[in-house]
Amino acid sequence: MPYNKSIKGIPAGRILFPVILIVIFILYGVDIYTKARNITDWLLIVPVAAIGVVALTFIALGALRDMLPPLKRQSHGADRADHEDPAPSGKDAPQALLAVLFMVLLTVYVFSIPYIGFDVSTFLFLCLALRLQGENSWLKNIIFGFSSSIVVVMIFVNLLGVRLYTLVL
Amino acid sequence: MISIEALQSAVAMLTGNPVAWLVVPPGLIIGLFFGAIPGLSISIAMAVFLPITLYMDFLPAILFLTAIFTGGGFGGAIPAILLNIPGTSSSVATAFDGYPMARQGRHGEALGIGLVSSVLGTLIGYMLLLLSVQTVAHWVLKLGPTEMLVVAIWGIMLIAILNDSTISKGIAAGIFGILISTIGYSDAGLMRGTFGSMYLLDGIPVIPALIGFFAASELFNLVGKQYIVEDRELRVVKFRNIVDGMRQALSKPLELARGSVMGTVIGAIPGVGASIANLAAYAVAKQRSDNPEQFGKGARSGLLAAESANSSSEGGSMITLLALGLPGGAGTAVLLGAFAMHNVTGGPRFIAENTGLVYALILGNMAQALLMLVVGCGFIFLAGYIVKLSLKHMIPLVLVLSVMGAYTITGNMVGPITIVVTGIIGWLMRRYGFPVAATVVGMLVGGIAEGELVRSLQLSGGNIIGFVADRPITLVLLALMLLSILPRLFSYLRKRRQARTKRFNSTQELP
Repeated sequence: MPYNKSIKGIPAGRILFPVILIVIFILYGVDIYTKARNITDWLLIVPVAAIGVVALTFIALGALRDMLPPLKRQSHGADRADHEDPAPSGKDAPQALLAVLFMVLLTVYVFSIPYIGFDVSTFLFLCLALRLQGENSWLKNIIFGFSSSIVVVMIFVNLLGVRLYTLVL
Repeated sequence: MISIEALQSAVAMLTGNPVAWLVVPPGLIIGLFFGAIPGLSISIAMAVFLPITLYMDFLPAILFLTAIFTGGGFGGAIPAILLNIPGTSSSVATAFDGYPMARQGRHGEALGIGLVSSVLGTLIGYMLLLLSVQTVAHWVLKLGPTEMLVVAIWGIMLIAILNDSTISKGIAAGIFGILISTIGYSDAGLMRGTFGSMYLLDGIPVIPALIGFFAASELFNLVGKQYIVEDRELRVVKFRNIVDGMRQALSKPLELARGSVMGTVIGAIPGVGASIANLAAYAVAKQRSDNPEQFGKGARSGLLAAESANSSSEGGSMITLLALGLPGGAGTAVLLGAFAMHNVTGGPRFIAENTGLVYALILGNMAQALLMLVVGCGFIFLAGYIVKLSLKHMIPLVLVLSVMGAYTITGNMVGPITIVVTGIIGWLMRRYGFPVAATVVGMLVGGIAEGELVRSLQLSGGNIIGFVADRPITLVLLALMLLSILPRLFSYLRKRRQARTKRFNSTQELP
């Protein structure tokens, strides 16, 4: 059946992401409303958050319907709507995993800056980022990381006069 | 129509400020470079280089960023013509006829047509802006708080609704941006959404967030992707062919003017922008052509219309930005970020109080377009090599520039951390089909919307509905807002109904 493939391919994130946003919108709206001293403090936030929750609920329900088993879906066939949804089908999992690893690398890079400086952390980040993307020659990666980090840090420090924290340069 | 006094002051500003001219060629080259590399976009370039403008005065800063904008407009056409890969989303229709021309060995001619169309499109777009800006400013000054509130909501709604995603996702993304904009101390002194962190007292830093949403999230998306191309012959470009292409473009002034005017008008509508202008102008050119069957097979008119329209849309989007303070898309959102960085607020009063500066911006951009003719011509010779630059190397390098740029803006680690957080959120949004541009515009316009809403409430004495009913301009704007939104809403509902019927019929046929 043509449905099976697409159902297997739908990642749970399609439901989780809007649900997390719903929780954030509700918590934020409630927090503002309880702390507000007068109407102007919540006038924009609360109604806007409420509209957002409705829109997100609609999105989450749409994704949930897509995940229902085929038999149930057939019985609800008449209620389904076309979502024109460009959300992922799950086929791009390796690429998504690579992107996630890259995000982790960027996070480590940013949080390491206060400890090892912009110069060293940038060099390490560039080398590892190339390795992560499949560039296997360490020599090439080190040459690229070394030259690029020196040029970029020098531009910011000497040309733009930004006081970047550096360890070596 | 044009204030001569302000025009003289604009010329004095431009001639007396050499820095304003020094930054333009690098801006054009950056734009051409980023536009020419498939995957990287104009908004990434503008967002990444935005922090550098912190060290410039307002006029050079905006000219630098608009130079990137202008350069990127033509830069995107280069891989579209040479490789059939639109360098940016606004060059999709450029590939329809540009690539067939390249396949026929006419790539030099196609690039020449593209360059002249882009230059003239930009010129015409800014010329129309110059002619209309005073009139627009005159009308916009009549807008009070309720009208500005409607305009702000309208802007966000259009961007939320007119995108490739579903309407509900567009609205949710826009609202997410509005809520982000309210974090930190409010105008009334209430601390909101700071999680007790002193770093968030001033709210989420807008520029790093903008870099994260536009640049970092898109770069995460590109990790692991490569554009494989085999076309050694395309590296050979003859100057004679480029000039020949330019001459052919100039021989069709009416078609150039039609594409450019269409691009300007479409560009002025928030949420529509260069991508739609590019496609719409191509469609109209095909419809009006005596030889529509030639379109898609290397028709010069198709390339000319597509390129002139996407370039002129820049001028159109500047009308909305300058007059209303509303960004129409990613590029103008970055420009609005630059306005904020220099403590300049676009909107009704801006044009009236700074007419000279606005004219200087327009004239500077017109001169910039002419300069692009020279810079772009030189760039074409390197284009065959630049389009093949490795994304593997560009992605981490651009991210490093973004992180350092964000540090430059905030002076502490809040900027880089904001890039990481908004980059990850932006990636998730793109992955699950939420339009990131709507969030950024919501973030930029949210503050204005809240201010105008509170002012409207205070002026109305609590009876906001009665107050709005007494303001005819607000009612007209509300009606226009509904009129502009309803067609898309109806088309969406119609598609849903059709899909439902189709699915119902297919389930009936199942055993």
